[in-house]
Amino acid sequence: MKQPILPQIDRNRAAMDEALYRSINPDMHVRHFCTYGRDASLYYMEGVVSTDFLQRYVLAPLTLLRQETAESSLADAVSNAVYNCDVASARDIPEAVTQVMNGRAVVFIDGMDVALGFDVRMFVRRGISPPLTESVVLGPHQGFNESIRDSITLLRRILPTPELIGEMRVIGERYPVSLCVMYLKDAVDADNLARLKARLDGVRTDHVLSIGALQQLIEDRPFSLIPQCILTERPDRAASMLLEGQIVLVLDGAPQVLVLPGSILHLLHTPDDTSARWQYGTFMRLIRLLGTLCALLLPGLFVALVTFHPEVLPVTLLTAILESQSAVPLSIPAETLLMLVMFNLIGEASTRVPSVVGSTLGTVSGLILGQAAVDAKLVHPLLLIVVAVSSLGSYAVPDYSLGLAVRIGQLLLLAAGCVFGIYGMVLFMAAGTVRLCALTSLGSPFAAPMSPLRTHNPDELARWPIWRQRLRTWLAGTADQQRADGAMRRWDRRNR
Amino acid sequence: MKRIIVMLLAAALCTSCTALPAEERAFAVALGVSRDDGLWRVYARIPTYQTGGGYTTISAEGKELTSAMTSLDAAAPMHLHLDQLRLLIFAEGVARTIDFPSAIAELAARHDIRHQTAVAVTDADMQQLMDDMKPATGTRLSKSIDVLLETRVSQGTAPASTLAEVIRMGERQDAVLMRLQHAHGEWKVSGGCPVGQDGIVREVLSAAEMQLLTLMTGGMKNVTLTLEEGTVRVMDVSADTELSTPTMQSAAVHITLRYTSSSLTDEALSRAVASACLGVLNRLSAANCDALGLGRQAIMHMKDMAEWHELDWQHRYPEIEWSVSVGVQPAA
Amino acid sequence: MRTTTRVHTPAERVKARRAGEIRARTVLVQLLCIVSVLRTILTRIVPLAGCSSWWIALLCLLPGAAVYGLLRFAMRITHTGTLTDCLRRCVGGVGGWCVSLLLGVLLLIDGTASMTALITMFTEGVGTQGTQMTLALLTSAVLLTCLHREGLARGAYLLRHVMLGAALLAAAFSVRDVHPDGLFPLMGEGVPAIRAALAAGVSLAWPVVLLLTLPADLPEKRVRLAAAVAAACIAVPLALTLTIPHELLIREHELAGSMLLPTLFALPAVRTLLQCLLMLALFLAVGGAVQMATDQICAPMGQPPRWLPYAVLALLTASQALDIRSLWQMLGRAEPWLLLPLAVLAGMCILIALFRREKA
Repeated sequence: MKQPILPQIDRNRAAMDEALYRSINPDMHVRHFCTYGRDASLYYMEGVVSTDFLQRYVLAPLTLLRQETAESSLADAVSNAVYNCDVASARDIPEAVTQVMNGRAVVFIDGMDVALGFDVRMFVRRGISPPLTESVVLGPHQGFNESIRDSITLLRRILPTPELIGEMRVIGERYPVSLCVMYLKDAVDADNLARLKARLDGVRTDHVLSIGALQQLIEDRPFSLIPQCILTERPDRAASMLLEGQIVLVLDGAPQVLVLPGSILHLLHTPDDTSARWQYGTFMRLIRLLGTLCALLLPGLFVALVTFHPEVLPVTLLTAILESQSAVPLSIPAETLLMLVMFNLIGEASTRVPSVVGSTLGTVSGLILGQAAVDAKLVHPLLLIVVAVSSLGSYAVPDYSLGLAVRIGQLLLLAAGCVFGIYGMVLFMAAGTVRLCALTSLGSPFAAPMSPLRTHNPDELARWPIWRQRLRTWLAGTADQQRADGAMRRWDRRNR
Repeated sequence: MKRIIVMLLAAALCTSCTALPAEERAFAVALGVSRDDGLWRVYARIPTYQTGGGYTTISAEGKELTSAMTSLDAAAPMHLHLDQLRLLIFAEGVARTIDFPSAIAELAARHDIRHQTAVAVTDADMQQLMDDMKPATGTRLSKSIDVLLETRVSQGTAPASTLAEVIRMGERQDAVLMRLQHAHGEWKVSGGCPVGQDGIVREVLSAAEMQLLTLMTGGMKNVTLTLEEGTVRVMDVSADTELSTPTMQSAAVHITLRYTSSSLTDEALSRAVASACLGVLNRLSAANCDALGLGRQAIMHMKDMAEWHELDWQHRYPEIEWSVSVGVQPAA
Repeated sequence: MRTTTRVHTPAERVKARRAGEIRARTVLVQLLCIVSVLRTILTRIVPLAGCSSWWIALLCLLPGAAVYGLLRFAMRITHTGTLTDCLRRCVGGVGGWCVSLLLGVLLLIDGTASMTALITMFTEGVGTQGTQMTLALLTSAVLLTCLHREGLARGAYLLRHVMLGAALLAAAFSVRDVHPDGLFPLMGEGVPAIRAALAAGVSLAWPVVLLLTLPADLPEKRVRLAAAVAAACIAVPLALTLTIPHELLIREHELAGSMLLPTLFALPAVRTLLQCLLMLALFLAVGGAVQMATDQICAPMGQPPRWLPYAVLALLTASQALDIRSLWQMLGRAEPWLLLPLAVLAGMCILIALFRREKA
């Protein structure tokens, strides 16, 4: 049962002091003053409020507040006095505590059974900077930051429409954190929205630390290798997904947003594809797809061909491989596994290493895995190229999570190729394809619109011209699926 | 899910699907088969996998070809594989006996043999021939063989006889195998050995005769043809063979030849080519080798295989009367 | 590239989504039909008929087409959309259950045959080490991961272009080995062999009846699917006979040898490609058979229980415990009879429907 706020200020003070652990929590401050002829107390947390604003625009007017007439209301008088900031009332102690934790200055006045929380927040936060993991050549260079307010503002700037709804809620039972569910009212599918809200309501945890943790709590298949939600740092990408009827979750403290539902194509597309002309966009996508396939298949294919199906390889290549392999102490499967592990280690180390020593790492890894390893006959030169190309391919995957999934899949396919040759790889890929097609994202098929077929724009693997992309996608729940009425290039008689 | 993974792992371990490391396999580039004193001898030319190349010859013998091949597998320093075989050479002594068709069939039935292997016949000493098989350029004998065979086939002096083609001809056509010669430490591919309908080689065609046979199949482009009367630079050829039906007693070959230069007049050239071709066809008939595939045309008029066997093509073919007509025209 | 779609109501949206799911399911049925037909042609008809197998396959399609036509006629006169509904209307709930059970059993037999062919390809054709049972266990373990209600159909739909591309690529490489005389002599080994081949392949086209279990929203789709199945089962034996002479076709009587006949003289890379294609197709066909058998057996109950597909798969795997040659002989004795119960069913339906119409 929640402790209500009482008209007796002494009891409220005692309750607040206990709830905020003021005796051992030096960040929790209280200022006692008089207002409207009554005792009052102001509670705030140091570091999250603007003390200057607090002094000038909250404390000063309140301290000077006098009762004008006998009939005048205290609440009205306070609202009129403090007009520079937003006021929210709290009816119980826990709510008042939450407001203090969220950066508000909460005022208790003797005789009032509500507390007033004034928005004087001024968190220390990072400015808007380019996204770290989703760089593009063409397109904006703004990324979300840890402030939920800033992130929402960035989206509202791109889509300045009242149809863009941002429902605020908190998640985490013990240590709640703010979460904003954003969607376009005239684009979102009501069933998807209801499903998502039900999942959010069903999350029972004390605190959600990051957007990745939230993803794991609400995604359809947490044991699947492939992520079923899209994490993005880019407001433009999030906005384009809002237009398609998807739902964006913005979590306070996370510089990425979570988008649902998604499909595998969303994980492979980048904003560059749309910003560039359709020929370039298609070309980049095909290269990226080739890179992904190389990353997945190349190491396993190499081992399978050399070990199980040498008849497929040209004999000159085969002889060259075997000549250099005869001097290497390890078998080809072991060598390939070692090289892949080393490349993954370098990748991981270069992510963690401080930038000042980054160049040293590059030199060391280049030396270790390059010429020295080949000269020492620890690895095979062709294998080095194969592993390097496949690693490059995995880094070409736009989505970080999918890139990791590709790297794990690469190892699994390598195992299949080492044990069963190409046949094992084929069966594994078939099973993987079926599993991919069985995946859902918020109930929508993950491999759509390819399988099952859904009405879609010509924007799957090849990116057709923008003026041909007339539909909202299969994820939208609108009555009208047309994005444009008539031709988009109405001025052009040939290319409409 | 855990159960699936456990089952997968258990099954994987039970299957013992461990592959042999690639460097522990000897991929034979050439295989030679001969027979002396009732004993089959087989030779294989395998790389030594040293940096810079290097090949060695291993050999084995046995009372039957199968046992000889088994002994060869045992004699190889590593597991012997025929997946990358380039040349399958039979001694003439084997090719001219009734054991030849079964020898080919036995080798073709090996699950790992490369069906695109070229099949050849030689009268040279097999051991010497194998030892002298070295790359003409570079360090790869396989590439050297491929280039050499491709050159000779394009020149028309050797037939394109792969194991797959030999087997695939069935009863409808007969193959002409390559002829390998060896002298003064060098080996060369020149001429052909027509295989009779009973699977035995009885004749040997020279390089010039082989060129004429290639001409009659229409597979000649930009080649110099040397005839007794003179030479001609052939630009391209189209040829058509027609079997007279329903009697099947005669066959006509119509050749249309375009040349860029010739030391003979058109009429003389036409006569010379026709006469030379007729000579080759008569030799093929004598050897009972249906190299032009008349059997394919004959079988198209048969109702079923019983009728085909009743036709007794093996005895009918040598009785066929040949005629050759050659049309020549200078290239524009 | 449809860019003029305008979907107004939630019901229409649901219908559009359902159409996508039906497409995926029809591709799975189509794949199963083609694999079943080609397997029977390669393993039963070609070893007997040789170069005449292409037109014998055409003839063997006729009984299946006739049964399909009769059932279609029955459905039309009873004004029903699927085969099960038609039987239910004619004979009541029991009839619907019977046809579902019958189709389930037929699918089980077909699935067993496909699995046997797949395992034999592994053990004898490809030369993998390992016993028949352990490879069957392994294949089943991989299949277990695929037995999702919609995943298999969607996976087949996604992979259809890959399989078609691989087949066309292999065909392109084989074009140079085509000899028109391969089609001759037309009667092959003669009348007795033709009779035996016809008897072995009389139920060749029974899987086409499965198309009648699909929803009736898209009638033109059924025709296209049936045409695709017919085209595949003519094209493959035709391509075989054009590239491999009759004398070699009738030599392969072993299961693995027959299945791998199209790869006999292919280039090594093309041979590996074709073997992978065959394996993939058989793998998906086994999965499809298991899933469809489960759906048919449980059709009267609605949603099948979760454990049932695994039980059916376990049954199929257990069949591999039998000696493969005896298993193949048993299947060979059963396969020619698969169309008979469907033909009886068709006749029964038509008679009952006509009788009821006259009575009305």
